[in-house]
Order: sequence, then structure tokens, then C-alpha cells
Amino acid sequence: MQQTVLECTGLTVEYRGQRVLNGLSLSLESGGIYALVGRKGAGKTTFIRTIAGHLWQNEGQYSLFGQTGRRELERARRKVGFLIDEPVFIATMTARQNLKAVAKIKAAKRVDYDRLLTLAGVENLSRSIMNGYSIGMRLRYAVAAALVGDPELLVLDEPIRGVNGGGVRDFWRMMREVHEQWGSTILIVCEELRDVYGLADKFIFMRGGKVVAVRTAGEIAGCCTRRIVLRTSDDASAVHALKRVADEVELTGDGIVVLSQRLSADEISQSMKANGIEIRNIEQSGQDVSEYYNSLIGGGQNA
Amino acid sequence: MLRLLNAELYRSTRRVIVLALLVGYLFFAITCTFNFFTWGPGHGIYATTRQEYVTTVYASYPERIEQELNALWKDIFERTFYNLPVNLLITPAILSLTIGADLRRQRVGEMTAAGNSRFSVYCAKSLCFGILCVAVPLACELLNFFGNQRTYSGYIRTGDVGFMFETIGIMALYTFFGSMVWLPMSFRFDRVGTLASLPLWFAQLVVIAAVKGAAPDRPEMIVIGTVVVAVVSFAAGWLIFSRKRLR
Repeated sequence: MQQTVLECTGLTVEYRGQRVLNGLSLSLESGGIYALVGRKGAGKTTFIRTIAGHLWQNEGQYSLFGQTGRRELERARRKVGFLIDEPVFIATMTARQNLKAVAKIKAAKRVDYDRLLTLAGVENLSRSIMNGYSIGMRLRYAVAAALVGDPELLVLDEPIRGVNGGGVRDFWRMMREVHEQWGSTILIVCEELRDVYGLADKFIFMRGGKVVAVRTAGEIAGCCTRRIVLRTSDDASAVHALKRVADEVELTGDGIVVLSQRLSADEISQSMKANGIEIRNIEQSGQDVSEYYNSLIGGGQNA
Repeated sequence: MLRLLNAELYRSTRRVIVLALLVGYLFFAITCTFNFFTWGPGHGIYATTRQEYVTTVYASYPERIEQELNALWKDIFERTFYNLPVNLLITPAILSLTIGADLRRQRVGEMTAAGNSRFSVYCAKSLCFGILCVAVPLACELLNFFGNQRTYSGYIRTGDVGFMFETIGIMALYTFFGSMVWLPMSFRFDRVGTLASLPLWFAQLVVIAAVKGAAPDRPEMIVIGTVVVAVVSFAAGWLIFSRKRLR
């Protein structure tokens, strides 16, 4: 049975005379992967800092696992794993030593360090200090640290900032593994819908310090599937190449029909050129994820 | 809170203590040099010279040797004793500037997000800072003991090792409370932290100077004064910390 993990009602936070959260209300049910998406300045990080206890709200309230009192919230936070800003660790200690320090802070007992180190992919580096870790390794370590104490809710604030394309794919793969193995509810904060699309089940869109829309992955898929029809010099090879990158590819009498939430006609053209296939005709209709996001949130900062 | 303190000390072991020891010992070396020039003969040379003088001059009067040597060690103790407040105030200041920022960087936010109250986080950080400030001069004093036999050999020769450890114990107590003066600065390296720390520093200097001048035979008054200023400093630090938005 699903239970409410986090519920906020009319949350308002002012910072240096500016209202950063403006009556934010949202609710997270257990077991899902949620994405909190919004442009810079939408109030995403302020919201996360508030539920982490770094900031106090001026108005409204929130509950974690049904708890609302100050002391009750402190206790409830022990069931939450946070990753806010860049990963925190002592560079002159090994990953295992750092995880032990986190376990002491969280008062976590029976921590399976080997399992966490394996998840982070650093099990073979257990004797190396973290100073030489790459950005991707540090990020994976940070998720492992957030998982110390087997949290029921995992909150990640813009985890993929500064990570390259391959690193992002590895990271999302890791998050799916975490969701399957730990069964935690996951809340990922991201600036671009495109970055988190395909991972989350539910998307919460923020603008101007409040929630402006909530959509399921299915709803978004229904709204933003782009249909691209193309004819090429070698349709069979083109279909083979496209199947590697697109969601749905079909060879019909009209040509090759590609259904995708992310690919554009330009990207397909570039992909074909890279494979040495000439495009004779290409047409697209519908909108992709980025266009859908722009239409929902608007472009620019704090739009 | 003790659990957090444990975590803090565990995390500090690798980088902070090593750094603190280096800075502390460097500073201790500077103050010892300073003392050597300001008080004429320094502790070590002074002790050795007087010891030789006493044993030579009173060679024919063995009953006076013991009496004079006792006076000598009392003199050394008093010089060390009265020198301590300077060390206990300035060494933590140096530590505050060097490791305070490091302690703060280890994210008070991380501890709060892990379900710990702000007050317990503050207490753990303060205690950790105090303990580090004790560890530095204590380690320096022990290094000094092994490195400068001329100063301390008298304690051993007269069989009064306990007396030496008593001196170190008092110093540790002083230093622990003295470090609290710099707490506001440790938690906030800006005008607010500095403005809160400096008056406390002057207050403690005034307390020590006043007690030294008015009641030179009552060093326990220095302890009381130090504790009072430490309590005020702790409160000032908490005032700053509790209102601060954690980063």
C-alpha cells in the first residue's frame, strides 16, 4: 500500500527580502521516481534545503512520513538520504572510511559497506584515497553515501551537473539499480526535462517558487512524441542505424517513420550523414520533450 | 551529540589534526623564541644555568641545595603557568583561522540533513574545535618535554613528574575553554564572526591581566574568568549559528 512520503502545503520561504518559494504544494507517494523540474531560480534548491532543515519556511508546512513537529521532522530525516550540491567527502580518506564517517553521523547500524562500494563501482579502490576520484566516481560515491542507513526517500539535487553524456547514462542506470534493489522513493531535481526524461515516473514542474504542473511519464509521452518521416539512399541500413537511437522505427510505403520523444530531424540527418547514408526527403511533425517543456514552463531564467 | 563528536573527530583525524599540530607547533616555537628574548634567558637555558649556579655556590651547604632547587622549579612552573594564557588564547586563534574554515566546510548541513538537531551539531562542532585546540599545545608540550630535557629534567630528577603533568593538565583545561573565545569566528568567517570574537578575546585578556595584577597568588581566578568568557563565547557562537542559513 502506498503511503505519503512528503507532503507540502503552501510552503513559502523568503530569502534576503525575496520570496523564493511562493506557496508551494506537492505530495510524493512511496515507491515512485519523481523528477522536480524547473529553470534556474525556480526555487528547486531552496525547497530541498527547506526539507533538509537548512532553511526555515516563513509560511506553510511540510510533513515527512506524516511527521510535522520540529523534533519529529529531525527523526523523520533519518529516513531520508540527501545529496545536495557537490558530493561531500574528505579527500584524504578512502571511500570506505568516508562511508564510515557518514554512518556515524546518521547513527546507522549494520551498514553493508561492500554492497555500497560495489554500487558506487569503487570496490576495487577501497584502499585508495578519494583525492584522485573522477567527477563520475565522486557522484556515484555520493549516492552510496546517501544510501547509508537504507533511506526510504532519496533526494538528489541536480546530481548530473558537470557530468558528461556517458556519465549521465551510467548515473541513470545506477539510479534504476538503486530503485530496484533498495526500493526507495527517489526525488531528482533537474533543470532540463530532457535530462531526466525516461527515468522518472512522475514529473513536477516548478516556476516562480511554486508547482505549475504535475505530469506522469505516460502523459508526457502522449503529448510530445515526434513523428519524422524520411526517405534515404539506403533505407535498410538507415532503419538499422535508427533503431539504435530512436524509440520506434518502421519502414512503410511512405518511407521510414520514426517516433521519438527526443530526436529531431536535424539530429537524424546528422546521424545518417555519419553513417554515410544520403537523405532524399525528411519531414517532421509533433513536438519533442524540449519543446513540450518550453511550452509548459517557458524559456529563459526563472520563467 | 557525542555520536556527532565522534564522527567529527573521526573525520578530523586525517587532515585537521595533522594540520593543527604543524601550525600549533610552529606557533609554539615562535612564542618560546619570543619568551627567550623577552625574559632574558629562556626556560631551558635559565633552568640549566641556575641549576649549575645553585649546585656550585651551595656545594658546601647541601641542605640549601634542595631548598634552592625547589625554588627554581617553582619559578619555572610559575613562568610556564603565567605564559599559558597567551598560548591558550593565541593558539586557538591561529587554529580558528586555519582549521575553523575546514571544520565548517565539513558541512553542518550534512549533519542536519541526517536528522540531527542544530544544537547538537553546534555542540559537537564546538567540542571538536575545543579538543583540537587542546590536542595541539598538549602535543607540543609533550614534544617539548622530550625535545628539551634541560627544562624538564629537573622534574624527573626531583622525582616530581606528577607536578609536570599537573602543569599540562591545567594548560589543557585553560586551552579548552580559551579556544571557545574563537568559536564565533570558526562558525562565521566574516565581519559578524570577527566582531563577536575580538571583544571576547580582549575580555579574556583583561580578566587574565586583572587577576595576575590583583591576585597573583590566586591562579584559580584565571580559570573562573576563562570559563565565564567561554560560556559567553559559546552563547555568542550559538546565536550566530542558529540564525545562520546553513549552506
